[in-house]
Amino acid sequence: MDWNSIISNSLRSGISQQAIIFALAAIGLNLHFGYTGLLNFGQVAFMAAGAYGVGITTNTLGAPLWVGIIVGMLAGVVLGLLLGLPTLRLKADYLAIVTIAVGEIIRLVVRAAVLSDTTGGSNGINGFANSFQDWNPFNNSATYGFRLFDRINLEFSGADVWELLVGWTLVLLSVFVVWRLIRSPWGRVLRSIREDEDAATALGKDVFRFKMQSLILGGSFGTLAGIFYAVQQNSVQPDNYATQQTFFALTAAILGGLATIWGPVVGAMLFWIILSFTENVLIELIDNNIMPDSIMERSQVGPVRFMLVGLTLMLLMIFRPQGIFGDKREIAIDERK
Amino acid sequence: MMGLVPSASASAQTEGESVETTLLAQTEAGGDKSPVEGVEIIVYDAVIVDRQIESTGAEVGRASSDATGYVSVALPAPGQYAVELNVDTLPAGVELVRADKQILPVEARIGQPTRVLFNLAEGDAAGAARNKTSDSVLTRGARLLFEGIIFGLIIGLCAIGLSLIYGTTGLVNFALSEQIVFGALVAYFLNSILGLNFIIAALIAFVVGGLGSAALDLGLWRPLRKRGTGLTAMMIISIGLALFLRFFFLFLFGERSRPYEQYAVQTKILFSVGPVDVLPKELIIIVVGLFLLIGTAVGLRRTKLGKAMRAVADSNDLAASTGIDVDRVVTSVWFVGGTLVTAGAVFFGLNSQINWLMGQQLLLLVFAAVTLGGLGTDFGAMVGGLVIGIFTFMATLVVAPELKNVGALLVMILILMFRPQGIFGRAERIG
Amino acid sequence: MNASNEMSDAGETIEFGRTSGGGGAAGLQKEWDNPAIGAFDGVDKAPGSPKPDPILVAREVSRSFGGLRAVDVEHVEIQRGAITALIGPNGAGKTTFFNLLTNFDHPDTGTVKFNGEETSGVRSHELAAKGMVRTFQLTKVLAKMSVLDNMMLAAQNQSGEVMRRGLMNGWRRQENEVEQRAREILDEFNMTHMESEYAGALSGGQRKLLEMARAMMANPSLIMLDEPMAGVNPALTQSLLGHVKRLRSEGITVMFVEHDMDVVQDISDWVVVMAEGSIIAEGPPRSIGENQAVVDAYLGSSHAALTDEIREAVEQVPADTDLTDLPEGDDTDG
Repeated sequence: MDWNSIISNSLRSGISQQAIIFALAAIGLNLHFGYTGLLNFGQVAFMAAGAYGVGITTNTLGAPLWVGIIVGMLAGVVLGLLLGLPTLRLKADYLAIVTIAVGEIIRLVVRAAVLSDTTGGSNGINGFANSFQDWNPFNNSATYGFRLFDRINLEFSGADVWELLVGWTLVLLSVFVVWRLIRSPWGRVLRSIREDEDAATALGKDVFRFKMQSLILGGSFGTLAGIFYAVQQNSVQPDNYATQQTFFALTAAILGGLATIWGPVVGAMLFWIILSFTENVLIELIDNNIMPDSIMERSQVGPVRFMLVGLTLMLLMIFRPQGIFGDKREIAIDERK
Repeated sequence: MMGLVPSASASAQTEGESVETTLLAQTEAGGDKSPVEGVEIIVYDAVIVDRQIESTGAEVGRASSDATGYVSVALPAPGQYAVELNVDTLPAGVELVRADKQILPVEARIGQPTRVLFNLAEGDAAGAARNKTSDSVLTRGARLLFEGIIFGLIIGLCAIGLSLIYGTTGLVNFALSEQIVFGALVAYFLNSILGLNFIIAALIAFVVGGLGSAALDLGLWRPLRKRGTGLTAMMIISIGLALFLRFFFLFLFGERSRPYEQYAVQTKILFSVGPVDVLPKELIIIVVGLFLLIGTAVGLRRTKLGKAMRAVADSNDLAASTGIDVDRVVTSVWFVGGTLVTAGAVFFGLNSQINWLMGQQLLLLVFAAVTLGGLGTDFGAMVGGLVIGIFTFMATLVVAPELKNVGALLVMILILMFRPQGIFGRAERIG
Repeated sequence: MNASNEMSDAGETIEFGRTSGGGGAAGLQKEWDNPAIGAFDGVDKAPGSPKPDPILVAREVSRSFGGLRAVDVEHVEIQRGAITALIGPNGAGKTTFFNLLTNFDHPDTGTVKFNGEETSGVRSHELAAKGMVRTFQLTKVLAKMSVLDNMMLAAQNQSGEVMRRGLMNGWRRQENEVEQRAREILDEFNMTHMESEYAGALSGGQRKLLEMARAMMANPSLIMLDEPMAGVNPALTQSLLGHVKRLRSEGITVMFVEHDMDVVQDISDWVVVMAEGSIIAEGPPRSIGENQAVVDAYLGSSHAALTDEIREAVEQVPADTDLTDLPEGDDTDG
């Protein structure tokens, strides 16, 4: 068992690009669900809108990357409007089902062969964000970072450092925006909507407008996640935008603590640390023949890790819905509605 | 860096992938088969979704069958391909039984040959003449309608299961997708591993699926209700359960799709209605499916348990005050719902194949059906299922097959915009 | 204790008024001034009768659910500055009518005018912002927010509620003013000590109080209370009644749905009776129990107990007492 590499891989996962993507998506879900009580199960649709917004604008239409990023963000806003208009007046269950459906519609449409000239079909769009690495001030052939206790490798390539720097800056900016807004009267109205829409309406609040703003703003963090994902990978793949991504991000948000400022970020980091740790330990067990093949083969490690996600989500909701940082008294989902 | 999606991890390191088939033609109805030589098979790159070819790309290779009817085409890598039988090379008098099965989807596995099957018949042995590729829209429409009805029954069975549970407990049960996979797997285990006759395996699976569903209620949902867990929280718990089970089934079963034993390769046409050929498995689905749907509707209205279920659905407290044991009724609903869902699942597997993602594929359509009909109404769920099933298939007359689910989901959203309580639901009174 | 037992004569009722002024220290021994005295002089005691200065007028308002006609109100006017009770047997359509008046539901036919302005097409939150603020039968406190947050939410025209302004600091000054006002009102309602508690931690009666205080915070000209006393213990009922009277003394029109006839007799200036969706009687509280249509409606509704209560209440009030005149003298408005 190579514990050094297990720990190193887990820690690296905790600050990886994946953790950034999940943190951004979860910040949005937290605004939706934790603060406004909106059940957006289609955060992945916002991610796809951003990613394909960039991909199509730059690759298919040949625009520069920065234009693509702007178009991607706008695509997320438009999606928010389209999603919100028919659903925000309906019961929460319906919003959940419609958002899932829209996420799936987007995935099916972008991977459709009939649109492959635009979206690349099931192959997606590749190689459109080279200029992102052109802007990289770090040296790609050098390594940055250090070894913890001389053993645990926390060194990164220049390209990684650049991506991580941009990504975590985006996360911090998003956290700042949410923190400012939630402490303002605007945030107070959001929380009142989470508690009781009718009460907020009776006190003169335009519930529909606030829900729409929350949906679009929270969706924009998801859009940002999708754009970052696409640019960092220099590729957009339709099957990376499957329904369950939303649920993984939701698990991260709940893990950290809904209705808290830092919960989704810490949740996303922990989510990836746990996933990576499990995967690495299992692989070591199998490779060292401690775990016999009759019980588990290497190809089954993937499923086991995601079984763990499902289990985590269940157990959290049953035993600790407030997550790590949340205040149990403030978790709206605790009540029968 | 880890992939976001586990299924994206398949890599093309091993060699030796190929597509192979043995071409045999039925010489007379129910009679022997003889090998067909010199027939060409062409393989293309393809995109496959839900075991349907969405698009084909460049040709990968072609070959002709030998004297035993065997033909094999080597593939560059595992992945998705389309295999076409060149009908122009068929000997005179030999025809494809199903003209729409001229091109078959293949998901080639790593390092091993993948078998496909073309059903050929001589002369009028299988009434093959009826199935020309140049069918009129009307003919294709009739066939799609028939397939849509079958699919609609499958959706309807699952939808009524979801709807019953929602009606009595208020839970939007996302784990229904995995109850579908569970039921289908139980039948597969009994049928293909233990070798039981399919009908018997299916019947046992119905009961096991119902018991599994009731066990979920007893072990998970009832304790949560007792704790006063909120409905939204329970919905999210059901999502966690769905994720857990889905990947557990993947762990057990792998990514491959598999058919049931007896009816996988059935070509014998029972009878035809106009341009529509009815296969035995299709007849089974229609007869048993309708029996279950109508039986449920009647049972809910006539039997004591059914009336108790409807009373509980109307109002838990009121039902309890009239001496109904609400807990028992709810568990019974989970049993009945689980049985119906399993029936839908087994029929779905019978109609195509079973795999670990089938539940997820069906779930959104089931939601669409239930929303369409109105949450919590049994009749609405049935009609919603039929409408969604037929719409999904008929849509392929005008849109690419890969987009057929998109249409159904869009219809659901439109209905919600203009009639949020569904077609058969009643408007709620506020306050 | 059961308040009705104490209602042996008018004098007792005045006593209640005194103790119930109850909220703030200033109001403890006070009776609230009643600007509605005399407002109903000469008003016809018949369904749909015109009022001298109506704040709310509903005309031919109807609403059906399925085949059932839940509300079918030909005409009703609500007098400004008075306390009007809306009573009726269960299922009479009172709450539905409330929903229609506040645009939480929309009538199939008919029009509602608030301050002379037609309300059709006005969304319910806009109506609230215009001064028609309602509460709900089942209290809707915002459980996972503090009492103070509940109050501050209700202030109207907050610049910080505009998203882009929320990001900046410009809203802070107004926020301080809002907070100060919220504290003042909480003080009036004697709830200062619980301002930082979660509203969900309050008792049923305290929630009703908070809901009323919160409605005050929204600066209403018409406040619509749906069963404000339901499920509240009798001690707190008196305090709530005092607050309702104080609202009136501050010039706010009050309309409320209530089952408890004692409450109706105690505080209302005018009573409107609904049965089977329609308005069947109107009049001052003293006379309403004598109305045969009202007694029939309650009898017919299988709520015999309520009918008994009406009769009892009617018998207990001396015929020559006009209850609207009762709160007199101590007009030291706090």
